[in-house]
Order: sequence, then C-alpha cells, then structure tokens
Amino acid sequence: MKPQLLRIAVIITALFVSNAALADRVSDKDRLKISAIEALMVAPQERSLPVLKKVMASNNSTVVKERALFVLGQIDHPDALAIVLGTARDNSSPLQGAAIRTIGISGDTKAMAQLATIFSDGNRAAQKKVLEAYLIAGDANAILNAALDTSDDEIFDVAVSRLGAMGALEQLKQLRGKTGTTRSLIQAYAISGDVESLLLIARDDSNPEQQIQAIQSLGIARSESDKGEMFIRIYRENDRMDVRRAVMHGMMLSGDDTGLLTLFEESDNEEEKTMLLRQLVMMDSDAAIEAIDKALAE
Amino acid sequence: MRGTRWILGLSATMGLMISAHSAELAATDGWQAWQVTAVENAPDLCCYEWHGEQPERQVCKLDKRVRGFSTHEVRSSEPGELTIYAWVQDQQIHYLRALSSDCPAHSDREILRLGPIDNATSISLLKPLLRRNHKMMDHALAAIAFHHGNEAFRILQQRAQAGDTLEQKKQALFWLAQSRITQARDYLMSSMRGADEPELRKHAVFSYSQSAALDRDAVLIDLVEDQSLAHEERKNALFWLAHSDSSEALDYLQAVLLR
Repeated sequence: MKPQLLRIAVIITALFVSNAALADRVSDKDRLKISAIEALMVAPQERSLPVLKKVMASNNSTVVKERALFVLGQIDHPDALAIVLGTARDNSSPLQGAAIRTIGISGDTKAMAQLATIFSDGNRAAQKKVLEAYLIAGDANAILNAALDTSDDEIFDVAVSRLGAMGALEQLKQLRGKTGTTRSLIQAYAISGDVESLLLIARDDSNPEQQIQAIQSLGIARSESDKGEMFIRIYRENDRMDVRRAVMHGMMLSGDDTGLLTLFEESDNEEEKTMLLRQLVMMDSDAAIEAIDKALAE
Repeated sequence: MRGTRWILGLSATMGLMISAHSAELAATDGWQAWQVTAVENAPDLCCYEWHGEQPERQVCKLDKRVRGFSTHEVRSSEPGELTIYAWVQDQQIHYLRALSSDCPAHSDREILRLGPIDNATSISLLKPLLRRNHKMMDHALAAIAFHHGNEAFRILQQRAQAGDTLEQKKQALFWLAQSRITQARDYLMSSMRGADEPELRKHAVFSYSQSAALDRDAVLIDLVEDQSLAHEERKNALFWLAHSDSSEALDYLQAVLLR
C-alpha cells in the first residue's frame, strides 16, 4: 500500500475504531466533547485552532485531549505542530503515545524529523510508538536506522517486524548484513515474502535452529516463485530428520500436496513415508488416497 | 389529455395567459424558456466564479448541463422573477435549469422564449418530472421550490412526507429549506425530531443548517443540548454547527469543550 493511502486508511480506521471503543469507556459528557472536537475538523483552522489550544491546556480527560491532539495533527500551522511535538517529547505525559502516533498520521516532514530524537531520548513505550509512527508514515529507512541504533532486543524485534509488515525487503537485507540473522528477521522475511533470504538461511546448517525456522517460514512466505521445487531440493540435500520434518511442515503450510506426494513416492523409509502420508491426510488432500493406493499396490 | 390544452410558446411575444390544469410544451425541439413569479426572499439563482470569498456572476452556459445551481445571498423580499430553461425533445423535458430572470444565460442553440406564464401552469409542466429518473426529479424539485405560491410549498411538503424514495424526501426537505424557510420552518423542525426514518431526521437538520433561517445556530444548539435524542443525532447537530461561520456557534463549541 502506498504511504499516502496507508495514512488515509489509518486516519479513517483511527476514527472508526476509536469511536467504537469509546462507546464503552467514555462518559456521555466526554462523548459529546469528542463529537465537538471531531466537528471542529470541518471548521477553518483559524477558528478551530484557538479552541483546540484551550482544550489541550484545560483539565479535560486524557481521552478528550487525545482526540484534540489528533485534530491538531491535521492542522497545518506552527502552533498546532508545537503542541503535538511538545507532547510527543514529554516522557511523563500520558498523551505522549497519542502525540507520536499523530505525527505519523500527519506525515508532516518537520515533525517526522523530530521522531529520531524522541526515539533516542524516549523510554521503551515511546520508542515503540515512534516505530509505529514510522510504519504509518511508510518510512522504512527511519525504522532501519532505529533498529541499528537500539541496543534493546525487544525494540529491535519490533522494528524488524514493522519492516516485515511493510515488505521492506531492502532494509531487512541491510539489517541482516549488519546484525546477522535473528529469529525476528526470519519472521519478517516470511511476512514480507523474501523467499530468497529465507532460502539462504534454510540451506545454511551452521545454526540448526534458525535453519528449521527458515524452512518452516518458507511455507507461509507469499511468493511468486516455485517453492515446491525449493522444498524438494532442501529435502533431498538433507539427511537430518529435523530438517526433513520442517520441510514437510513448510510444504503443508504452503498447501503443496503434489510435492509431498513426490517425496512419498521417492522415499523407501517406512517411518518417513508414514509422516508424509500423515501430512497429506492433515491437508485433506486427494493425494493422500493416491498415496495409499500406491502403497497398497506395492 | 382532458381539459383545455394549452400550447406554450405559440409566440413569445403574444405573452401567454395560461391558467389551465394542464399544458404542453411547444412542438419544437431545443431550449424553451418561460418566466414565473419567484418565491419571496429567493436567493440569486445564477452561476458564479469565486474570487476568494467574493462570488462574481457569470453567464450560465446551458449546454454544459451541470447538475444543480449556485445560489447567493437573499435578495429583495418582494417576489422576483424566475426563468425556467427546459431542454425539450418530442415535447418532453430532458434537462432543466431554474435561474433568476436577470441571470444571464447562454446556449449555442436558439432559445425559444415563451414569456411569462402563471405559476400553476409552470408547475403542471414540471410536476410529472418528479416521477422520472433521480436527476430529473432533483432538477424539477429545485425548480418547483422557487415558484411563488402555496402550490409549490404543498408539493414539496407532500414529497418530503410521502415521496417515492428516501432520496426524494431528502431533496424535498432540502429545497423547502432553501426556498422558503419561514414557511417551512415548523415542518422542518418537526422532521428533525419526528420523521420516521433516521436518515430523514438527519437530513432535516442538515437542510435547516444550510438555510437562511436566522435562528439556525440556536436550533442546532437546542438539538445538541437535547439529552432525549440519540448521541448520533446530537453529534450530527454538532457537526453542522461547526460548519457555521457565526461566532455564536464557535462560542458554543468552545463552551462545550471547556465545561
């Protein structure tokens, strides 16, 4: 999805989801206030901005101010930007997360440039929000830089999963080149459909755990390439049973019953044949009956 | 067709004296235009080019076949004149525009000018269009709305109550509010709270907010304050209040937020 479209989708979703969620947890008084703030979105900014400033400076509830922040993020005015940025920088503010997210939704270049500082100065919650803002704004390079800068494994994993969700193949490759393979990177390759990177790890037996994860992930990676051929090649190249089981699992996940039947026909190991047949049965595949018929004929 | 049959446009210079229950258009294909008395306080129905906040009248190009028309500011409280431009083929109207008579209009084709006719005859020509497609219905409702007299009001009110479709009911409400808000006020007020269909109640609020009613902000505020209404209905009133450019509306929104 293009960043602009993603942003529009996020704005609509944000309004829709939050409205649905609000119904349960907000007082009638606050609901009316939130409706008033939403109504202000259609008013000229010279009229809405002074009111929104007052709301931010008032004793209103967090949920009302969150909505005011959202609307401020849509206003192209230095005063609105200053309020959003000031809140986003404030590690003690309960509105910090909402402000950071607002920056991502607005996609404002000046505000986006400030997110790197907010990331480096922020706590873990703020850092996660910054990564979310980058995702919303479609800024994969900013997420890459954040992943390279952080020493926090949890934040690194969040960054990697964001890149996976964005299909940011180039940034994921760069990350692997600098940090080596990690579990979260393999997940991201699967989500982003980077079969090429997964295949490299799947054929590398220097780290058996990662190799198994990569093979299984091949099964869920969206790809135009012929994964059936890849699976069969890995299967034939490996005698290790854990690798072969992972291949079977990956083939099942990708719905490759033809490949599983081929391996069934090739195998002369009873235990292996039983496992392959079980996978075919679990897939509810017609190939299972075919395999049984062939076994009976032998 | 029973009754007296009047042929409009026999001669524009003759000045037609038509008061029949039914009438026919001239047997000439192309543009035909006639004048009627406009409703009191009708806005200027014309075409505009906007220069910032300032609209400037333009010649309306009939051949462009735009949908709807622009209105601007309430003019004299004396009934003015309205010109109906109808594109006619085989004595059937296929396109329609109603413009203030002093609004300049142009077509590359000849316009057969029929002169003034009485409002009842004009309405009898336009009324069958309400049963045609959505576009024609909308044009016809708008044109009828700006006719002077109770017949136009009665038709609009009847359509708002029992129109063929929800869309027709909504359009009728809108044109009632646009053309004769003083006369239609009570009806719109009752529709805001009492119309059967929620969509129609919502549209009554919108229509009132877009009217020239002097109390439109106050009416919207009353709706917002009415705790017996569903939240969505109060929210709808807030939404249209935020569109108002009055300081009263803004002050109210601020007061709600800082309570």
